[in-house]
Amino acid sequence: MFTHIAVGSNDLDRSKKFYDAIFTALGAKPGFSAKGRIVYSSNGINFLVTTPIDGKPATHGNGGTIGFAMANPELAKAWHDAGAANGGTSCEDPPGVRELPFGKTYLAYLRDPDGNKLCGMCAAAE
Amino acid sequence: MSLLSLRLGTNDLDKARAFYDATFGALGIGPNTAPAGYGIIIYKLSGGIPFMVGKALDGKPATHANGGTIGFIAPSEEAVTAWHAAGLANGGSCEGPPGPRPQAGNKFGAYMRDPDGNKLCAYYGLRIGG
Repeated sequence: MFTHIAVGSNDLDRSKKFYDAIFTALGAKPGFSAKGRIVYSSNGINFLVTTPIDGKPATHGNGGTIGFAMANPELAKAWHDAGAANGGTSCEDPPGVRELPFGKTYLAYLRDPDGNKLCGMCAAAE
Repeated sequence: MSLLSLRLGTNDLDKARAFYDATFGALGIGPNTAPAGYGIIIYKLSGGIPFMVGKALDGKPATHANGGTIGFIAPSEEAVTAWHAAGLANGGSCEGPPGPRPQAGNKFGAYMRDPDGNKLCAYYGLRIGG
């Protein structure tokens, strides 16, 4: 599967505040910093935040999203609010239930402080 | 945390399909599972995690990130080399040929960009973090 997923950062302190907040809201440990990177390891997933190795500014993609599975809507909302309170920006529709082809789904969207787009998702109660 | 999905942007879905069909095939992952005309392509990675590629939903050109990389686990060194070759033969560009990578404890890996510039790598035997 994945060895790792890395997103770019222009300010690792700012990024650590944001990602520590959203991942600890899900029960994961704060990240550890090593060699200009922050590493989060949980459930076999390694999520890295890094300054670009080419020395140019970090940029986010357009069309790209990293989705995280949420245990329930309350956690998804807590995840979203932790991010918005720590340098992130709420994006798309506010957190809530959407009617999708495969059923009612709770969705919350965030951009991290560098604009990388994230999504939290779980099934919604009927 | 648990990963739910990954989505990358493309400006040419046919090119992206050719690239990802070939490169995931080299890692033993099946071809695109989305119905024809679906607008995005979907690959089910091991563990069932969907890897999706599609146009940007805001109507602007899809762009790749700088500083971002998605790394895949390869089952052997040969699979890393096959993954890289399949990508270069299908619109990808080299960002680091297959071989021991000093930045990763000399584990065998390779880097490339997909046809839209999204940066990818594949490693055999690399462990990060816990």
